[in-house]
Parts: sequence; C-alpha cells; structure tokens
Amino acid sequence: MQNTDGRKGYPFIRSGGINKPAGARTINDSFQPFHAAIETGRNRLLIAATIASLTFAAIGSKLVELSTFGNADKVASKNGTHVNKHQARSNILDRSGNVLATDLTMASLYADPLNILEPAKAAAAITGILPDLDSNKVLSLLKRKRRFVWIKRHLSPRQQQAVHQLGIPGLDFRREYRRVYPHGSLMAHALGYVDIDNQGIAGIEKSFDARLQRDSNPVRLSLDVRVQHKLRTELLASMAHYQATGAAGLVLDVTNGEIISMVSLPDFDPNTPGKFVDGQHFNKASLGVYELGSAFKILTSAIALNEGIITFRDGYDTSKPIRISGFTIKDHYGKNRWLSVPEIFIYSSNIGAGRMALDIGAKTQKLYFGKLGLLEPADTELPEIGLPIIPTNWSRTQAVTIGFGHGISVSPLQLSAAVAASVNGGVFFQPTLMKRSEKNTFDRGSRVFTEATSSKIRRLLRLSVLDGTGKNAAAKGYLVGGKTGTAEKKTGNGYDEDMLISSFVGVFPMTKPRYAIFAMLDEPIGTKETFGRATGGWVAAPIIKRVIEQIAPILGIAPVNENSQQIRRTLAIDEYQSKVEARTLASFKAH
Amino acid sequence: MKALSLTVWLTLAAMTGYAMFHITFEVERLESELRDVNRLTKKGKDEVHHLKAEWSYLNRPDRLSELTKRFLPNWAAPTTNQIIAIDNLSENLTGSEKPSKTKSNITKTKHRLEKPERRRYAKH
Repeated sequence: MQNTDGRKGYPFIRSGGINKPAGARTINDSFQPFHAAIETGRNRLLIAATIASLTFAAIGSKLVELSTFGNADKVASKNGTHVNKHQARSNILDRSGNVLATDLTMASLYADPLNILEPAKAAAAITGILPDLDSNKVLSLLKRKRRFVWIKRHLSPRQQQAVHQLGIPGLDFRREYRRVYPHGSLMAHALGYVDIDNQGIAGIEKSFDARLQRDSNPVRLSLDVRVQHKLRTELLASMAHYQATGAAGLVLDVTNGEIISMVSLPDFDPNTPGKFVDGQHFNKASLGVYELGSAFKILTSAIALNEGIITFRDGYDTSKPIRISGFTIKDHYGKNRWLSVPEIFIYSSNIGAGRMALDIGAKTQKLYFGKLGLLEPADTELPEIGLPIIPTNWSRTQAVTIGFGHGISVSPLQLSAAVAASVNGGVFFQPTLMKRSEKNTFDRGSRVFTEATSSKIRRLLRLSVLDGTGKNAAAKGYLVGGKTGTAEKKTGNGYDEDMLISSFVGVFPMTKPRYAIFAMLDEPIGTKETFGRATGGWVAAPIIKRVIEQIAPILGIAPVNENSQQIRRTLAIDEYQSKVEARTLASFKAH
Repeated sequence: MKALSLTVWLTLAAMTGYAMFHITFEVERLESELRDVNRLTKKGKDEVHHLKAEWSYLNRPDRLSELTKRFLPNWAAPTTNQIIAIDNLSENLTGSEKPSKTKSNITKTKHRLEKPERRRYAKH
C-alpha cells in the first residue's frame, strides 16, 4: 500500500522523469513540471486501477466459486435442526434382515441458566412435565453460572411438545441419536448396549463400535430372531420350573460355525442399560466357564476312536473304581461289569471314560483340546469371552477327570463348537456371530477328526438318545443325538452335590448333522416329576426336545420316518446291537 | 465520442448490476429450494427409518405369539405329524411308488391352501 502514492516506491518518477536520478537537474527543468505531473497522475491512476481490478477479480472469483461449487450443507445447516456432532450408528440386523438395533433421533432438553429469569418457577414447571427428575436438582442446575447444562436426554415427542409449550426462555432442545433395540431383551447379551453418548460398551455394539459409527452399511448377524425367541422362551420356562438361578442356550450351525441363537438368563433390556442389576449382564453362554461334565465324553470317545486306541468292539471293566493320586473315581449308577465303548457312552460311565482317557494320555488329550479351541478363549466377535480354566499341570490324574468333563472349565460356546467338529465330518469352525456370506474370507475350518470317526460319533450320540441318558431329548422325526452333562459346582475345596450345572448338548438330524443345540440350567432343583433329580437328562434334555420340535420347521429341517430301514441302517452300531441281542437271549435262557 | 463511450459504459454497468443482483436472487432462491428438498428428504428418510424400527418392534415374536393366542385361539404350532418333506410325500401317499416331483408339489400346495380356510369357517 505504500506504493499507491508513488512516493516511496517510485523515487525516480517524483524527480520528474524516468531514468533520471533524483535530484539531478537539467536546462529543460522549467518546462518539465507540467508534463511530469501528468505522467505521475497517469501512473498513479494505472496503479489504482490495477489494484481495484485485482480486488474485483478476487471478489468475483469468490462469488463464482460460492455460486458454482458452494457447499450446500453449510448453508442448509445454518437454519436446519442441529443434530449432535456424531453420525447415526448403522443398524444391526439378524440373518433375515430384521432390525435388531437402530438409531432414532430424539430431542434432549438443555438450559442456558444465565438466560433463565425465574429458576424456581422453571424448575417446578419442568418437573411437572418430567416427574422422574428431582426438582431440587433441576433448580441447582438452573442456578449454575454456566451457559449450558443438560436437563434431560432423550425426551419423548410428547414431553418435548409439553416443555416447548412452557415457553420458558433459556430452555432449548438438541436433536440427538438414541440407540433403540426393538426386540428388547431378546438378544441382549449378543447385541450388548451403548452408553448415553451412543458409544458401544458391550457385545457386538462394542466389538463393532468403530464400524457401526463409520460405515452406513448395516452389520448382519448370524442370529435368527425366531429361533432365539423359541430357545429363550423354553429356557425361561424351565428356569422357573426348576427354580434355577440361571440358564444358557445356544444353537450353532455345525457346517460353518454360525451362531443361530445365543441365550443367557437372566437377561436385561438394553434399551434401559442403567437399570439392570448385577449378574444380568453376564453372558453365561460365552463369558461363563463351567465344568460341563459328561458332554466331554463325546470328545474323549472321538479322540480315542480317531487315534485308533479303541473300536466299538472294545470296552473297559467298570466294576472297580479308578484310584489315582489319592482320588477315587466311581460311577453314579454303575453297571458293575465290563462295558463296551457304546455302553460306556450311553450309560455315561465315568470309570469307562476315565480309563479311555488314560489310554489316550495327557499329551494327546491336550493336543486335541488345543485343536478344538478349548485351551484358548473362543475366537468370536464378542468382547465378553471367557478364558478357559485348564490345569497348569496336565498330569494323568487330570487326564482322567477331564475325560469325563471335570477339572476343566470351558464356556458353553466352546463346548458346542468342539462337539460340532466331532459330528460334522471332523472339521472345527470357530463359532461366529457374523453371517458367513457377509464375511470377506470364508473360513474353511481345520480338520481335527477323520470322516470315519465323525460318523461313529454321530451313531454314539444317536444311541445315547435312543437307549441312554438322553432319552428325554428325543424329538420324534428329527433324529436327535446328544449327550447329557451334569457337574457339581465347586464350593471351596470340594464339590457340592446339591449345586449342579445340568446341561445337554444335542445335534440334529443325525444322518446329516446341521445344527448343534446346547441347553444348560444353573443350580436347578428337581421336582416330583423328575423324582427329585436335577441332572442334565431330566431337566435339560426336555428343553432340547421342545426347542427342536419348534425350531426345526423354522430352520427348514423336515421330519423323517425314524423307523425306516435306511435310517436305522445308517445310524446303527452293529457291535452294540449284537451284544444287546446276545444279552437278551442269555437272560431269556436263564429264565 | 465521449458521450457514446459514457453511454456504453453506463449501459454495461447497469446490465452488470442487474445481472449480478438477478443471479444473486436466483442463487438464493435455488438454495432455499435445495434446503427445502434436503430437509424433506431427510424428514422422509427419518420417517422411513422410524417406521422400520416400529415394524421390527411390532413384529416381536413374543407379541406375535400373544396376538395369535388372542385372535386365533384355535391355531397352534404344527406338530411333527403335520409336517412332511416333499420328497417323502410319495411314500405316504402311494407306498413305494414315487410320483413325479411336480405332482407332489401340487398336492402340497393344495393341502396348504385348504387347511387354514377349513379351520376359519369351521368356527362359525
């Protein structure tokens, strides 16, 4: 700007001519002043015009930029409703596209205390509309020397209208997103919940927090609303009937590890996350680890068969208890004789399974358990994953007790996935809550057992439901197979006989397994109908039966004629049948 | 010459002034229109979003089961005996002889269509 008058920037011009040094005078100097003044004026005009043109050009280009490439959002937001800074979280859907979690915009009431003329009156009026607020608390908020205080977040449209009609200056609303779970507590543990600022703090909401906030595409889970409802309803009913303190249930697709249903009771309503009491948020299906008892005999048998240690013709003497390292292992309802492998399985003999585990050896047992994902926390999408409790020193004694499901604590999710691997042809899949088609990489699983071993396990599981401890799980037509599990709870140094974890792990249809289903009751109490017993076979197996009868049509599994020759042949264990026939014949002769 | 140049310049200035204001107002009008359209789009999207959430809420399995109990007291979940795989249908109808797939499909559809109707009218 200094140059505009030409004085500082153009010393040569002021002196009367270009190329003449300042102060140098010539003969023609007396004729020059007029000419020089015009020259100076012209130059100044030129400079002023250039500056003016540049300024107009700058303004013009800015105008063109604004009108052509103008940011419409900036203009729109000036008068539009203000929505809190973060974007809506994307939806969570079930496998068929039902909305499980979504964001709705709601009004939140805030105040500018410095603009409130009569805080006492205002507080009374507000608490008249929002009775759950404490009027003293509101008053103290309104008296604060601040420009912004929250009065109440997430008002209903009716409450908002009522507050609006009060017409109190200094009160205003801010539009905020609120997470809503239309199905309430149905899938509480799997979905998790968010805090007041819409940040995921449990379940899928937590593990997918970043994606849900960033990506507008919904997260599609493998869960099925209908199956979940059936399983939850049955578990709730049984929990009440047997006065259990809790329950857990799972339905797993054995062909790919998808979790179709995951229930943990008691549960909570994620719409009101502040209101649940201790224990309700604990996911028994994935976070809880339990000694799950006899269901481990499935794995013991599978390992022994896979390693060629036993065949269906072999067996063990179960008449004498196993004495090892000061422990005595007995059978609850022992047969006191030599039992074949299928018999050990269907009568759920601890001695038989223990001896089988001794033959397998601790090292091999541990190796297989590692392959079946039982030594590490399950690698699934939930943040609430239990760390299995495994013996630090995996000795022979441990091998024996683990053989029938004691001395190792795993989550129901881990056990179900391991059992799925033993029946689906021998391939282990990490359980997942994501629909497989949504995943970028298809998990091909890892082979643990041979197809032949798996086929044998399928027949053993079917036999256990037909002739063994799992009779109550037999849903007619659906070829259910499975194994009961009853474990006493640890109390201090020992086990309490009256505090049981009673479970059943089932698979159907056994000819071509598709779904594994698990049900567990925590500390059930036997009733008159169960003759006071609260074991897995009495309290958990009937749940499996009822659930399968209801979910099989939903999942597209049609019932078959269980007595057809073809099916009987597929699932028969000839060695067992011939033994039974021989024994029947012998008892007939004896009479 | 001077007068002509002055007239030209003044005309040009007037035209530019008019054009500038015209464009300004037009831009404001369009922006306001865009704002309205954006607002309506957002409102519409929000409403659809709310309706979807409501639809999911109204389709809660426990609610549907309650409604079924209340309004369709004679309806119950199908028992295993009422369900049969299409492939097995032939065995039940004609013993070992297996009719064509099309035939079994028609039989199944007919059965499905008729059954609820019969039940509904039987009540009255």
